[in-house]
Amino acid sequence: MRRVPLAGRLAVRQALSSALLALALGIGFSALQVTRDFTETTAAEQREIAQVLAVLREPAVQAAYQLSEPAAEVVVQGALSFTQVIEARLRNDFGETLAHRRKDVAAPPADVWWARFVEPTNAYTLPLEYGAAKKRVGELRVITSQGPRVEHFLQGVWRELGLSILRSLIIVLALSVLFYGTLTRPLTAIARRIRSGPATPGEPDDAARAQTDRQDEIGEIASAFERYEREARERTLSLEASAAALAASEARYRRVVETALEGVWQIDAQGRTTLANEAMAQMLGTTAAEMVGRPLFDFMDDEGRQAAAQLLRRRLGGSSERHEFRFVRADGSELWAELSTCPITGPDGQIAGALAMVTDATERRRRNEELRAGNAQLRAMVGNLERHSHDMAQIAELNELLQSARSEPEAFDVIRSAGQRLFAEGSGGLSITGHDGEMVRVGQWGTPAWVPPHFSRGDCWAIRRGGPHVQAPERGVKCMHHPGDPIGNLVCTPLYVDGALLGVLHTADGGSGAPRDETLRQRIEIFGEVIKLGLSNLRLRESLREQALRDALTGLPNRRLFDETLPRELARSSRSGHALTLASIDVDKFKQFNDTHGHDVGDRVLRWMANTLTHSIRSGDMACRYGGDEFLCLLVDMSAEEARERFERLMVEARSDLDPELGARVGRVGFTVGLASAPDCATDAAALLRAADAALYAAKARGGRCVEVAAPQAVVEIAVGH
Amino acid sequence: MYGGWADLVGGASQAMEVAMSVNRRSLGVGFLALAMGTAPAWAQCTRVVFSANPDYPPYHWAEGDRIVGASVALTGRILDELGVAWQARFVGPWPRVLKSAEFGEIDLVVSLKPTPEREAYLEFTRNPAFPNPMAVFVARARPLRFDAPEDLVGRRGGRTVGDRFGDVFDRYAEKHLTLEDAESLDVNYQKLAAGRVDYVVTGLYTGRAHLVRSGLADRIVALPRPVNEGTIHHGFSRRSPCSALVAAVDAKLAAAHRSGLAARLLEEALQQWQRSAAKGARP
Repeated sequence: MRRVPLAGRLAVRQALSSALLALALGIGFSALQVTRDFTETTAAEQREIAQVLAVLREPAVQAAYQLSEPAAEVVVQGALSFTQVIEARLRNDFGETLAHRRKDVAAPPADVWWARFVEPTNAYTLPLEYGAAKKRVGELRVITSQGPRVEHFLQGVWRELGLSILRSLIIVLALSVLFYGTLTRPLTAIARRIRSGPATPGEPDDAARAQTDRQDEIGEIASAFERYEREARERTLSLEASAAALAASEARYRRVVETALEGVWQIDAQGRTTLANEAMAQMLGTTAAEMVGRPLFDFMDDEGRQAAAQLLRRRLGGSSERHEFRFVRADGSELWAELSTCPITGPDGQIAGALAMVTDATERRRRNEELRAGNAQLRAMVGNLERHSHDMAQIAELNELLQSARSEPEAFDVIRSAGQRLFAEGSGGLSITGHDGEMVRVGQWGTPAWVPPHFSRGDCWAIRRGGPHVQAPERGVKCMHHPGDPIGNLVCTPLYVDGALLGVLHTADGGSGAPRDETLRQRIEIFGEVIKLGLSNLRLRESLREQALRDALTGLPNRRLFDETLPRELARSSRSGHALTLASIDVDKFKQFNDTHGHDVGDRVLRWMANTLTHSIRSGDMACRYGGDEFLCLLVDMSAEEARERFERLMVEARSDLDPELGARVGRVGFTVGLASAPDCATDAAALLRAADAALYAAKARGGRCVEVAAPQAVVEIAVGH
Repeated sequence: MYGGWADLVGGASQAMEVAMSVNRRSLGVGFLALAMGTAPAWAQCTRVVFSANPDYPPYHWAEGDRIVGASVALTGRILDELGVAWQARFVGPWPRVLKSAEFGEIDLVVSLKPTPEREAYLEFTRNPAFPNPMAVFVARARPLRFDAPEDLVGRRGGRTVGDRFGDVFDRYAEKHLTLEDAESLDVNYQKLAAGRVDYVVTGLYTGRAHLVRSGLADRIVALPRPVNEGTIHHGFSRRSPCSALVAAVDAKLAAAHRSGLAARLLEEALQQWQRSAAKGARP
């Protein structure tokens, strides 16, 4: 039991503080009283001195007036006879001292403590005035000592102070007794009750119990404590019940953990196992007892340790998450597990470890892998289909363009750009069969540009084999036209139309694809088919057009083509200013040949005539069969006179070598020529034709087998005449 | 030209005034030396205030707040001749008169005996203002022969306390004579009249003046031979600028003595004293 020191007792403290307060107040009021008393004594002294000076005034005035030192001495003696006065001095009005005397008493020491508050001496000065005129004759000065008065006064003060302290002590005693009875005893009883707990049953603590009946603050404290104690007892009972429930609950959860099919694994901050159930141990191929205390890292390879250390740090940082992780079983095999982890906090709120719920994910992972592979395959197929569909669109466009091409060069351009799009990752080209049987390159795409401009048919194995020929970098017989540079897999595809070789399609994949890529093969095949179809169509269209503009018997341009050409050449002649000469030629006695030797010979005569004209004109000139046995020649940049010389020489040559058999059967065949030139004879097509015809008639009229040139003037006259 | 000269003169006089206000007296003396013959030496003394023992008839006595008597008459006449204004002022009892001169409150104390102590603060005239012979007074009824101090040996004498009669007589008296001190001259006269003393030694003129007032003039008489031929002089306060007058006043006093003016004025003053005593005008 703790002993409260006397000074610490409530009653003593209260009493002391009350007494101190009383003492302080007493001293305060006493100080006020003392000040007033001191002021009164000061005033009393002043009054006394005033009386003394009044008595001394007349003798002092006389002594000063007479300047009588003996008289002055008497006055000063008289002043000193008063106890307070310690010094007196009589001066005349000239400032000279007539008498001065000081009492031989012990003056208070200058450093006496009260001298700081009160002047140790007081001086009083009485001016001396003589007669009715109040003439100033001197002054009497007396000095009083404050010492005795102050000392006397202080004695009273000390006495008063002593009494005050005595009064305070009495108050302390009285209040101590009072407070002990009213405060200390009841409070001590309550304190003892709190310290020693409830009294034994049947023996109630009367002293403490009695306090609860009081109608004051102590009563309140006592009641509050009784209530608090009752509640505390109830709380204790409730806590015990909670602890029991908690223990039961813990046992239940432990059973749940131990029997769970999922692995439960708890580690501390260093990664050491603190708890693992049997399911977890089985997954790792060990037992739960062996796992406890072993670090998590024992069940991993090096790569796993690094990842796990990182994860552990993050986990200790306080986040929860799920992830898959690879462990190594005790027998060395692999365990993929799905972990759901969360941090565990210790009692101090710091992260103390982590708890993981572990599911064996090895089987699920294997199924996932299979599914992923199947999916990739499917996606590749879809990609191929999409690519194919894209190719088809390209090829359809190519087909359409080829159908619209008007000439082979146009068509080759279209093919080249389509090849570039279809075989973007590789290179290639198209060669077609030339007139002399050589293969001629008409287009190529991609890099490197390796297709040779010409090669012989025999150089290509595809042509020789009559089907596609594949040349892989390490495999297959190489064609002679193969550049030798690495260009990947090369496929040469011969394009045959009706058994005739149209050309060869060369495609190289640049080394990117497999040698037997079915998609590529199909694409090449379709591309080749479209090229075949397009080019043969184009050639067919050209041949049809040719037939419409040529004379079938002689192969010369027919009248329709000539009518198209003549105005064009006239316009060109007028722009350039060069002469253009039109020759109208008629076979002499053609009807006679026909009638005599039959139509067959007639046809041969016409073919001979055509050949003669074809061989005699220049490449820019034009010869045509105008109808029946009438031919026309258009000679550009040639005057009529030049033309005359040229035709007259032709008549003399009479090229029998062109058809020797004909010469033998019918002899020499003659012809007549009429010439008209622009712009001398005419400037429009119809007029020029008429002028040439007129010249021809004129030559016929002369007997034929000669050349007649239309006269310019005549043409003008004719023109004017029209 | 004229303006410049006037300025010069004005500036000089102005400088002089300033200097004099600093130390009036010493500069006054200096000025006297510089300007000899052009202005009186006492130019700084515009008015002379003088006083004297208020109870020393017939030389002088107090009448109200004034001093009158032979000294006043003579001094007033001299100062009038010198052209200096004056006032004869009653300032209090005799010690107060001396103290006032010592402190310069008055300029001049007239007709007093020079002593070394007084010389300290008073500058005395060399020539006396008046004779002040000491005389032996005796009762007419009991005459006495006096030719030399030895004649007084064996007789009882009276003296007023504090009186001195010259060193020679004083020393002799101390050795050979019997002199009783009395409070005042009147007491001495009463004692002489009553026969308690045989003679009384006091100043001739003052003694006569007191006799007039005491009513014993017919019973007491002065012997013709004086004890000594004492003189009294004028003393200027050394603190007063009017002390510069001392030479001039000294010369006038010598002239007044020679002409018998001083003696005549004394006789007139005795008469005046007698008249005033008869009227009871004396305060």
